[in-house]
Amino acid sequence: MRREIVLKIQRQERPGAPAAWQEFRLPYRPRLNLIACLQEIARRPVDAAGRAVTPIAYESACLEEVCGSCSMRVNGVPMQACSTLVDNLPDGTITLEPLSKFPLVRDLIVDRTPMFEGLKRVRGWIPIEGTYDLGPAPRRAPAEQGEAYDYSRCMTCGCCMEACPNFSGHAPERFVGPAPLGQAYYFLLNPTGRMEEGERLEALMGRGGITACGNAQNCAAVCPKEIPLTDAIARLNRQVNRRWLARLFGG
Amino acid sequence: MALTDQQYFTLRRLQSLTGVLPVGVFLLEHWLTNAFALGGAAAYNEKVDFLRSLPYLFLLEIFGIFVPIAFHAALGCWIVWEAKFNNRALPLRQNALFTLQRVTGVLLLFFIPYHVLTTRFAEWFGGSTHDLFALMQDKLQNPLTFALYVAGVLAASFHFGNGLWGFAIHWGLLTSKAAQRRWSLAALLIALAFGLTGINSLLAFGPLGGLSPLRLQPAAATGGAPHAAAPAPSGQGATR
Repeated sequence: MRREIVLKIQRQERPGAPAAWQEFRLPYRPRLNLIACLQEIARRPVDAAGRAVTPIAYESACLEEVCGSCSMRVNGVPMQACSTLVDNLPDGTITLEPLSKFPLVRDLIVDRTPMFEGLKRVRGWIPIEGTYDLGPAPRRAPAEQGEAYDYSRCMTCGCCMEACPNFSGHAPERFVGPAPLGQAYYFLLNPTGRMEEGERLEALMGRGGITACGNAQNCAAVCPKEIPLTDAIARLNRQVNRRWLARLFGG
Repeated sequence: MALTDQQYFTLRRLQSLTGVLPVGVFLLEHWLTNAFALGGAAAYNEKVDFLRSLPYLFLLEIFGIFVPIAFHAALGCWIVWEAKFNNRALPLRQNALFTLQRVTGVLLLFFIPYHVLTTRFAEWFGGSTHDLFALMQDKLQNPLTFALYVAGVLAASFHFGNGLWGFAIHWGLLTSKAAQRRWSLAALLIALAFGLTGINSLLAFGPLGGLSPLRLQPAAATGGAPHAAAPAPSGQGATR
């Protein structure tokens, strides 16, 4: 049972600046989440040695695991700081580090642009606007709706991207990463989205597309929303292969 | 490298395919042939001679074995190079298999050339491949070489078994978590079967001999000296 909370936080003033650890001690209170701890430090930014320090820069918005902005590495594992309770972490020092796969902005804030670029690459959207009324969407079977719902929960927090050994936001051309793949599958499930099947599958078949997945399956393991990303990737594999074979043998 | 998207896709899929066809099939053949060592020198050398007598052997060796393995390995190096392992932070089963697949691949990158150069091309280094059984027996007497071969056999077995699982996902055969879990077990059992039979064949070259549940040849020597030259059943292919 912990009596105080010891947080070891990686600090970095700006991109390219040297990173350093700072330790903070907080009195224990039950049911604290990590954002509450960071707020506590922000109220009184004094490190464990009693030195006054700059407040820790971190991102957060919804505080209920919906926005995906407070992703960070807690004891090395990417997760949402808002929904991670101190009580559920092993006793001892808790280390907080920024996600390593994205360019660092300051302290625990990273720039997740590479993930959003990936979403653009796989056409992670559905064209629903036109110069004329497109009419109502086609009806969908409840089972398909249920499957799609899982993927609709993605909040682009980037935990899966951080956990993936093949993705790096510093070299995003190597692999687009699991989150955009999950969303590509999501939009291919949608009847309106399927109208762009060709373009979307072509985008997935390019360099750094779905073939760069190495099946480490960390993505699905760390996803805070428990999205079955590995199922999406496997089913996309079937789709891109069918397209490839159809072209190989069909012209 | 300036590859078009289509070429990139094809290369990556061929990397996956070559691991099974033809390399995996060759591995199976190789393991089966090795297992004949359980029947003694004559049985083993007879099979080796049969393989040497295959028509188009040169083409088979070049295009059925060398080119596919070299291609699989070259692209494999690229795949390993692009990976950033994180097993310490995420000690998960599948993540461990991911890393192990790449580690065994790199190990085989060194073991296979060593193995091929000292057996298939042993004559380049003054050895004789006339009696391959004797050559292997001689080599494997060195405990260090034996350990190296055990490592090579285990690496190849795991890489193939676990690779089959990855192959099934890459080719869109396993499309759900439940199916993947089921077949992951099957793949690891295949790896285990290859590992055990591979080591058994290595033991067949040693003084104790391997475990031979099926008598391959009634005429083969049994007991303490399974490698002693036994009379070949048909008179051909005996130790020369």
